Amino acid sequence: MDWTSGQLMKTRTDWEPAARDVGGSLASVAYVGSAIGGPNCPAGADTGELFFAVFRSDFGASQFPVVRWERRGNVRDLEQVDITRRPKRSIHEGLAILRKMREESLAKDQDKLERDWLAKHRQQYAGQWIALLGDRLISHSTNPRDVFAAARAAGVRALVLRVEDSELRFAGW
Amino acid sequence: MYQLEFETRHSYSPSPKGIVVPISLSYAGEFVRLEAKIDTGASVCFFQRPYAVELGIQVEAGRLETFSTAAGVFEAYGHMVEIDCLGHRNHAMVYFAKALDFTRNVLGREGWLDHHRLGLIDYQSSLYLGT
Repeated sequence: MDWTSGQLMKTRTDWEPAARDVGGSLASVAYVGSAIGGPNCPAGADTGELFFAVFRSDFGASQFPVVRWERRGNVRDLEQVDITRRPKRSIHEGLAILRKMREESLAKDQDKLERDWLAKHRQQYAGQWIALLGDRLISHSTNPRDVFAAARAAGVRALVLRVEDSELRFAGW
Repeated sequence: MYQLEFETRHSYSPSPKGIVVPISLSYAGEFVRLEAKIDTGASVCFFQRPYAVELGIQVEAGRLETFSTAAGVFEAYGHMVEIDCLGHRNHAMVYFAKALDFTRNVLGREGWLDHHRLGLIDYQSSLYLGT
């Protein structure tokens, strides 16, 4: 097998048998060698060493997922295992997958922070328009125009909404 | 047995206020983020008027239609926008309420449900979405 340093080898779903024993963390992708860059990238030569990029799912308010590199043996060991391999991906495809995963993680984290903030402060701002980014309140007013203007001035893509009264249930149409 | 596959799974808040999802609307390069309720009983998608204003839409230049609800009727203007819900995008005719005090943002059948596959397990607050 012709393995190239930095090559994305498997996604978690591609390589489920090895991903199972990573524990509580979310094992996302496996790389061969070290040429994938980044400050936390493990050092090493193009020796066929296999690394997992393990994303912690609980990175919380840091806004950035924590990546830990784990050595997972050598690709030659895997070749002896009876698993079906999909076509190899280029480093560019691998990095694109990582970028997409990071964007999705950030969006999910931001969405959770905003939902938690709304659950906590709904009564306080009921009936008002608010601009919210994560758990940061950018503006609030009864005039939506002022709130949109403040969000624009802050230069962020804030969630803007009118906070509903939490006592009322939605009856549909 | 039947089986469906979805690209996206979302956990929503188990709220009495309905099934609420984060969405964004885009129009002519402008963009707003908001929340909307999923309502399979709504024939179209409705949004509050301030979002149209923020997007730079000339609200009253749109197609005026009257809609009925259990509590009466209301009027809204139709405009083409892009909806992004959990990474799934589509262009659609949506309606912005004529009244400034309209308080609902709703993803309904025409313009949203008719563009996607939707799965719900409400007792788990889980929503599955595919295109």
